[in-house]
Amino acid sequence: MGTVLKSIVRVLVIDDHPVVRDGVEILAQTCQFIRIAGYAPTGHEALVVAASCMPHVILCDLRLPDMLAPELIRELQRCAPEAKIIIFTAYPDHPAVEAALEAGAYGVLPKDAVRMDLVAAITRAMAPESADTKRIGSVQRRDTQSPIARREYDVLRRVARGETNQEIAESMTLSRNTVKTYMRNLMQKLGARNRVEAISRAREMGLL
Amino acid sequence: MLDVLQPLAGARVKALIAAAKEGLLNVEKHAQAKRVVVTAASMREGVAVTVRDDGVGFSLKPAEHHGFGLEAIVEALRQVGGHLKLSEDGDGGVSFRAWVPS
Repeated sequence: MGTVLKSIVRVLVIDDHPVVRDGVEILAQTCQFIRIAGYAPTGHEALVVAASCMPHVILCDLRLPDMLAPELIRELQRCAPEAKIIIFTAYPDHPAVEAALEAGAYGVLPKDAVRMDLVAAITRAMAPESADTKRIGSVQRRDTQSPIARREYDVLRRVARGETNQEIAESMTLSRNTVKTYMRNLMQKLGARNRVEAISRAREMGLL
Repeated sequence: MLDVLQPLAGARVKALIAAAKEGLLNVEKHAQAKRVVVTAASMREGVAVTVRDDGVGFSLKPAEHHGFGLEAIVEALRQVGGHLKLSEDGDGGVSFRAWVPS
């Protein structure tokens, strides 16, 4: 491949476990062109830090204490539009990964990646020819499970928050029937008979 | 809990807890539910606690759903600027949502 980067790559790490930040920092220390430009343990802090540290690459955990990756990714794209967002997760086959990619994440990298994987992932994200190479790292998905689409995931989040179909339809500018269709698809994908079971399944799967 | 909630004044927290207990009591008494989920989330400059069941819905006599307990909850929430919303979503079960401003 031999991609050569001409300048320093500024990396923002978003993870609520300081050990992950420290780990990335150690990995990055051995690489001349990668610099940890910022760290944020929560989604809300990440939005503030991203706006000020102007990262080239954002390593983002799938699950943060205050926001889920898909929501955060959409916000990050507004405040750091140039940054490539890489989902850095211990669970690359997690259903929420698909939602994160649909929300605009550049790729997925398993947390057990060794240093070379991390460096390669960052290098590839920065290489101009990689613009249409959607996924990096090794993402294995469960073949038996259809991924949850972004809109379905939005509906699921809203249902879990206590919003009614009518309220969801209004805030997402959808018809009530469309909301019901999303909900039906979700229940099927989660193997749930009703929305209560869907919420509790989603919770068990770490989606909420 | 679905996100980090804004801190609430004690009276508002008490009103939400009382509402959640009443919601669960109603499920136990009337819903014949298999599952119930209680969630807390930020909603419209406030916090909503929702008790959702997969029971029989509002098929019981209305009087059974509007006992003193429920009236007391509506009043307690109103006193702190909040409200209660009961709804059905078409696939059975009831959603009992108490909201207070933060």
